[in-house]
Amino acid sequence: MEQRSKRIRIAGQIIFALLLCLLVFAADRALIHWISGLYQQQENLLYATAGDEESIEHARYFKQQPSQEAIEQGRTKLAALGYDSEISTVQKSQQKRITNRVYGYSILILALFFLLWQGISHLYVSAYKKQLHTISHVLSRLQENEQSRPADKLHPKAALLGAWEEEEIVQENLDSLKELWQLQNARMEQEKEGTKRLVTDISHQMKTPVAALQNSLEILQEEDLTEEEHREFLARASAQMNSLSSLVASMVDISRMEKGMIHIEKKTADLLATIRSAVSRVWEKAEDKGITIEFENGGEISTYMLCHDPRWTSEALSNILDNAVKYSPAQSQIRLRISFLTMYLKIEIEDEGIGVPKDEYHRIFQRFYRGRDVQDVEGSGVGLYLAREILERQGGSVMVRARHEGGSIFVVQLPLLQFCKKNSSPL
Amino acid sequence: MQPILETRNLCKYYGKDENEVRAVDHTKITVEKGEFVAIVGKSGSGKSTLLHLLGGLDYPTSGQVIIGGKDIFSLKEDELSAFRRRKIGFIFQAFNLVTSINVWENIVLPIGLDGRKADETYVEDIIGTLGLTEKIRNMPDTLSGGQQQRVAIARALAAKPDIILADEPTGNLDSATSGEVLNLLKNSVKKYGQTLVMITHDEEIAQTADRILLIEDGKVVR
Repeated sequence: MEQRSKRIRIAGQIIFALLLCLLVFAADRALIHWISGLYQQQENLLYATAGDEESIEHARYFKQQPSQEAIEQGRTKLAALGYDSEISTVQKSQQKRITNRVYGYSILILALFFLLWQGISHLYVSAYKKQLHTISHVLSRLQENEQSRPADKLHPKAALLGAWEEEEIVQENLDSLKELWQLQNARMEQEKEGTKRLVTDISHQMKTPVAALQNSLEILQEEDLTEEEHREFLARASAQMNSLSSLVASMVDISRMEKGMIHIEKKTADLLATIRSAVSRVWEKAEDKGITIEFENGGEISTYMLCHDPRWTSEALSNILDNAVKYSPAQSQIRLRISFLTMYLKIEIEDEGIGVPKDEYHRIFQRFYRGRDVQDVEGSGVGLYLAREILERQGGSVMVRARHEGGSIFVVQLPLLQFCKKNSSPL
Repeated sequence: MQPILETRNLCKYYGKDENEVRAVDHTKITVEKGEFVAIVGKSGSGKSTLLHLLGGLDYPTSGQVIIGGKDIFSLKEDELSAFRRRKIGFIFQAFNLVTSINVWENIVLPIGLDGRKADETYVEDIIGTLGLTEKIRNMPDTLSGGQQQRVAIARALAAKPDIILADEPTGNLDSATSGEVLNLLKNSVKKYGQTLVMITHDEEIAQTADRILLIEDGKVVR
């Protein structure tokens, strides 16, 4: 198409130039013809005077100009005879005619040129208008949320304008705008569906713990319990309440995370402090099982500034640690290790627990996931999902690997940026 | 919404009768725009063949591959070539960078081959995201494996394709670098709104995908 339009434009320009030349040439011809006529008249005058025997020698004035003297002599003689006024009248009228003709032709050429110019710019303007019309049409249909039609292509006549590259770009932009629009609509639909599912999932997850708690409380209300039984069920109810409340807390976090209510705010902060706060959250549970949590780089570094969100990263890490504690046997060890890659900082959390089967690596990070090999009353299947969300939103990741001697290694990566830049392009 | 990639009854058979090998057997998969799908299979499961078919690098025995609504095997050979250049980004295990040109030139090569001009701001942003800003004048043989793969990722992203196909992108990298490259790959693909189909033999590598498909004897089972 581009070749064709280029050819049309070049052809148009050539035709225009030719026309112009033709016009000017024609005008020139007319003028030349006319001036030749005037010269012819002069010639004729000479021939006429030559006819008179006496003046034949004046023929020499054809070759050379007569002297000023001779001219004056002749003039005076003619004036004496009364011819001077006639001559000057004829001269004047001739001059007038020349002037008129020259101006006439000039005006004609200018007028034609002007008309041609108008014609061409009209073509351009109408092509441009058609272009804008198409664009506004597409935009207004988008506004009315109508399906786009394939005919929304820029008008081919616009090729005359010659701005082919720019038009392609506009076309591309229009197409991607349409796509974006459709994508947005589809996303909104998905969001709605996602919200419905979330609500369903949450209510489903809550059923069991709530039922268990209700059960315990009902039993407690019975009159004929021994004091020991009473204490037992009270303890049970208390434990169930605790796990229910942590379940609710996690649910709230997920909902807020998914609905974009949670804002990950990166700050230049001490990563080691973040890690320490994460560890402190699970310390008690670990202690109860006799599990020690060891930080292997403890001897080398005590602080490390990193651009990250301390509050949420701490939550993510504590979720992973919590998972490690939950699935580790008593008296075992959980090890934390920091290392530096080229673009990321790596935190490894290693446990000696039951490990994760390889075909579940993918699933454990999904929402509300429960392991198949695990009878898990307490777990909400939410911690790892949240952890991954939090880390990925910071441009990081969490992956799991099998530990050679049994257990798992959770590999957390965070972008290795020590000090947050002001207007950096975040991942 | 129309999926960005769809296969219908895709088959690739080699040989005949008793010697017939069904590398890909009536495979039907769909990938939505913006998804990160991993196809996991042991060696010989047909995953490489499948990827070659998805990328129009090989013709199927029967069936269709539809990308962005276009049945790619209905295109003529030179049209298919152009389509691949514009609409599909490839990342291979063996990086496949051109050794005689520098990093920047490698990244914009597919765009140039297509006769288009690179959107420099966009490409610079990608280069920044992948940590290659200091290396754009380097020649590929001065880069580490991880860096070379990052260049390959940038190259795939720069042309703004409809879909990116990655064949064991971490296969030639050590485990630490693999983790990095996977993180970068996933994050940059999400950042730029791309779609990624990655094949691998290892579920460990596939774990960060949105969805995992398992392929066995040419059939997608999960």
